[in-house]
This record gives sequence, structure tokens and C-alpha cells, in this order.
Amino acid sequence: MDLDKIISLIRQGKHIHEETVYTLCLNAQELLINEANVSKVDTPVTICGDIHGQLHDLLTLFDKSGGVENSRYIFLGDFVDRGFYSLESFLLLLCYKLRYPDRISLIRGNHETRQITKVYGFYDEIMRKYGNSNVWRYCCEVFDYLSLGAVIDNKIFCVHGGLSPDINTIDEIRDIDRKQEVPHEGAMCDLLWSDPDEVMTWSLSPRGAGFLFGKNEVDNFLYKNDIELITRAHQLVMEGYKEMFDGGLVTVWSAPNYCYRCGNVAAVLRIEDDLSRNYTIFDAVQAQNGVGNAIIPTKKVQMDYFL
Amino acid sequence: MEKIVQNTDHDALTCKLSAISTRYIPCPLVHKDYFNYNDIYLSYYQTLKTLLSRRDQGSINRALRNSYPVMNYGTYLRTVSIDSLLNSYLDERVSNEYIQVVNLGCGSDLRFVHLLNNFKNIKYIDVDFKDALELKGKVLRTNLKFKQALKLDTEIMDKTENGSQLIHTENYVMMEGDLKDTSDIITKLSRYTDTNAKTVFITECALCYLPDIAAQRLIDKIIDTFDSGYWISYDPIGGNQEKDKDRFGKIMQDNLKSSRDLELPTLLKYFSEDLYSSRFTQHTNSSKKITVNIKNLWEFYLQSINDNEKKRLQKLQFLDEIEELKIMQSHYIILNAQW
Repeated sequence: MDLDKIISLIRQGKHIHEETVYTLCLNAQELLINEANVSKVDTPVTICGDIHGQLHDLLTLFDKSGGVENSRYIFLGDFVDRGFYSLESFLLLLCYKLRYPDRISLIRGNHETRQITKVYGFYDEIMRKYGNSNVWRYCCEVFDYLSLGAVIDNKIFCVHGGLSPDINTIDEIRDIDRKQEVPHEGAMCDLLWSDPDEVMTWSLSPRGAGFLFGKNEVDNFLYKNDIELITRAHQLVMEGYKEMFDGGLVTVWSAPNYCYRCGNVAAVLRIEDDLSRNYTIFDAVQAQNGVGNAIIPTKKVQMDYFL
Repeated sequence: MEKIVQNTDHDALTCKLSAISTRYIPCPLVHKDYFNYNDIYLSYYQTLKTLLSRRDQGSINRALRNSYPVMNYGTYLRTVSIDSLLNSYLDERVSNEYIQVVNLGCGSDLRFVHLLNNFKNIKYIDVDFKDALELKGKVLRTNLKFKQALKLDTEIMDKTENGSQLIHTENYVMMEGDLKDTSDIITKLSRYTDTNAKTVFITECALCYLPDIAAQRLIDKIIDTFDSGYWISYDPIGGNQEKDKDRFGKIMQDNLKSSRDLELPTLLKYFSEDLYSSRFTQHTNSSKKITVNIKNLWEFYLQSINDNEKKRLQKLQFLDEIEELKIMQSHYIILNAQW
């Protein structure tokens, strides 16, 4: 299959045939099955947070950060749901993964599951675009093979959500059987759902899954694993990124003007060979002629305000 | 423009139905004495469906299927914040006083069913455009449940509106009018209410659609006309673009303008809690003392929803993004003004 041609079609937002999606997903599974739960990545590398189906902004992200032809990327998950182009965003990343396997790592987010995509838009998007759920099923199969984390130069740990009370060392993550739907509790669930907060110890998360963890938990994890930074996504940050706990943890958010209404900027984080951190901030794609039609399909019901 | 504003009632109703079907509302605390809450809204919708165009039905159904947890939370907060103010005001007074409740721009809101059932000593006036009220009247007349709840058999025929579907009973009145036409509204209110009696006014996403001058005139005239009142208002506020680089309001205005030609004339003018409440306190041409309380709905969530209730909400659906909830809810306010 001609990956470059498919990539070009996806970038233009063109319809991708069901059979093509099937083949892409099958090939991606074969590639991902051989990857570890926690992949090892070298510097320099660009770390990207949530994308949430904002294809146009994903294209800006690549433009602003060198592009996959020239540099390495880690995506921290949440490729799908909420935005209007979940499928295109996910497929573009899959194509890049197939085309440049060593330059891009895809980590699973809490949205890359059957249950959550049924509530948050990806499933409905597929039904709208294909009239049946096949493509959604193919993609969900791929979700199950995505890795759970990455480690950069043995010094930086990357994960979608955060830490788990069941996980003390990165090696323990390697023991998880990841090829399954994300469970409602336990280590795998926590890695994808937890959030850092100003708490003294593990606390209940208001999201209904995962935990809140504080500086103590982060310091412990950094010390035990001999690393200096945890990078994660999962939480909207108006300024695009937010460092916490004396720089021991950073949240990176890469969906500008989230859901086309939050008014935030986005960021990606480049880690250089000396492990120094460089943030690139970017804004949402501007609508043409001051109207959102170029980006927001007109057929979508607008229900996102209280009227 | 009128039709565009009226259509926002479909959004409000859809949001409410969605929050009901996912069990956010009724709230076990605030709505504990509200009988058959779900049933009342669902059966209203069942009857309404038969009167709507296929296109409107389709868009409501689609919206119902696609509503996100963050929207259900918001609808819950909107409903609970208004109802808790309403309940506590009425609870304190209604046992020995006669109270009137006026819902300005009521749409398909059904608060009156519960209030009339729970409080014997009140009169409830629903105010909206004629089309909106006629449709609502038709639903209420068609559906047996409402016929009984409203004692429609005791209906007083209103000579001036003979032949219309508007309902007029001893303690429930549908009053048609355009909120922009202040003098007409005041004239009719004086006909249906006692301006000396304590009166509650509700504006739930209603002031936000009015031009600045019309909204201010409505507020001023009502405070002038009614001796003693209590105003409950729920609306969006735009946020401070200059100081906080807050773009929420500007984006909201652009989105609603481009997707449905809906305008929010005062969203960016009264962009903060202080500016919004100044519309009630700046009232100068009377000597009435006005006490105003306002908070945004994120503060309301943090301060007024207890831990047990928060836990109940958390169990209903996975809320994927707390920060988004915070951003949205800090751009909606609940105000009460008493004079």
C-alpha cells in the first residue's frame, strides 16, 4: 500500500476507504505487538500531549516542530474523541508510525478505549462517516496494542495520565499484560487516568477513575527509578504546559482552543541531547473568513453551550 | 432573530432530558420534594415530539445521543443552583405569605408543576413569545398528567386571548410578550399579578439574548414596579479579555454567530461577576435597597455541592476533563437580587 499517498489524502481530510483503514490497522497491530509496554526513546525528541481529533491543529503541530521527516516524536495519547476529525488524526499518526517506525512512539490515552469512545464522539464520528461501526472496531483493536509509556535516555518517563499506587518501578509496568481494553481499576487504569495535585498522599480522583498523587509520590518515583522528570498529558492547561513539584513533573497539552471553545494555547516539549527542555507554543488554526466552516463541519449539532 | 432565540429552548430542554436520563437530576437534596421529576419531563417530551417537525425531532434526538458528561454536569449545576435559591426563598416565606413567581423567557421549563404542587400559597406566571407558549400550552392540554396537575378543568377563560392555547388558571398563567417590549410586559404583569406582593423573577439564559438597553430597562422597570422582589438570574459571562487574556466569551460569541446566527449582545460588556451584578445595583431612580449575591457556577460547584453529592455525580459517568468543566462553569453565573 502506498503510505505516502494515504498520508496526503488524510492531510487533506479526504475520505479513506474502509478496506484501506482495515489494512492500515492490521499492519499497525503487527508493528505494535512487538513493542514493549514502555518503549525506549533517544534524544532529541518532541513530546506531544492530547490531540483529540483536532486534525488541523495536529498539522500545525508538525509544522511548528520540524515534522516527522526530520525529528523524533512521542505522542502521549488521547488522539481521538471530542474534536471532529478523530479518525483522520489517529490514522495520520498510524501512517507515520508505519512509514517511520523509529521516529514516532504512540502511547495509549484514557480515550483510546471502546467504552470511552462510545461516549465521547469517536464512535459517532465513524457511524456518521461510514454508516457502520467496522472502522471503529478496527481502530479499537489497535488501541489495545499501544504502549503504556516511554523512557527517554533512561532519565525521563512519559505516560498519559500519571502514577499508580500499584507501581513503584518502571520495570513493574513492563509486567502488565497491556493487550486488553483498559480496566476500570488497577495499575493500567491508573497510568492512563491519574492526575498530579497538591495532595499529601494518594487520593480519590474526581474523574471517577485513577488517583490524585502529590509531590511525595513524584519524588519517590523519581528517586526509585533514578529519573529526573515525568512528562504527562491528560489535563487541559490554558498555557499549553505546566511544570509542578520543583520541575519534577510536567503536563503537556497539544490541543489548542480545545473543543473549539476553551480559548487555550497548545504546547509541545522538545528534549535536547543534554536533556534541556524547550517548549513550543502554538495557537489554533484560524477559521477562514471568520467563519468556522473550514474546520467545523456544518452538519454537527452545536450543543456545547448552555443556552 | 426571535425564532433563533426561541430555538435555544430546544437546547435547554435537550440538555435537561439528557441530564435526567443519565441521572444527574433530579438532585436527591434539592429536588427531594419534587414528585415524579423524570416522569414529568419525559412525558412532556413524548407529547411535544408529536407536535414538532421531523427536522426538530431529529435534531433533538441526535443531540440527546451526543451529549457529553461535561454538559450534563453543567445542566445539573444550572438547574440545582436556580432551584436551591428558589426553594430556600419560598420555604422561608410561603407558609404565611402569598408569593408570585414569574419566569421571564420560560420556554419549556416545567418548574411550575413542582412549585404549584409543593407550595399552596403561590401564583406562577410563565412569560415567553406567543409561539413558544402556544406550543407549551398544547402539550400541557394534550397530556393528561398536566391536565390534572394544573387543574385545567378549573381554567378561567381569558376573553382577550380567546381561542388561543394559552393557559390561565387561578394560580398558573401563561403571559405572552416580548421581553424587549418593557412597557407591554409591565402592563400585562400588573394585570396578572399584585405588585404589592412579594414576587420572584427568574431569568434563565434570557437576559443574555436581549440588547443592553432593553435588558436594563426590564430590570429597572420591574424593580420600580414591584414593591418587594427577588430576582434569580443564570447567564453566561464572557471573561476578562484584557487582564486575563480570557478568550472564552469572544469564541463563544463567534461560534454561536457562525453556527446558528445567535447573538449575545451583552456577553462581553458584562464579562465579570461584578459587571453583571452592576446591572441590578446601578438602579438609581428609586430609593429601594437592593442586596445582590453572585457567584460563578464553578464556585457554586465547589462551595455548595457537598462531598456526598459530588461522589454521587462522579459515579454517574467518567468525566474526562475537570479543567474543561472549570473553564466552562466559571463563565456562567448565578445571581440573586433582593429588594
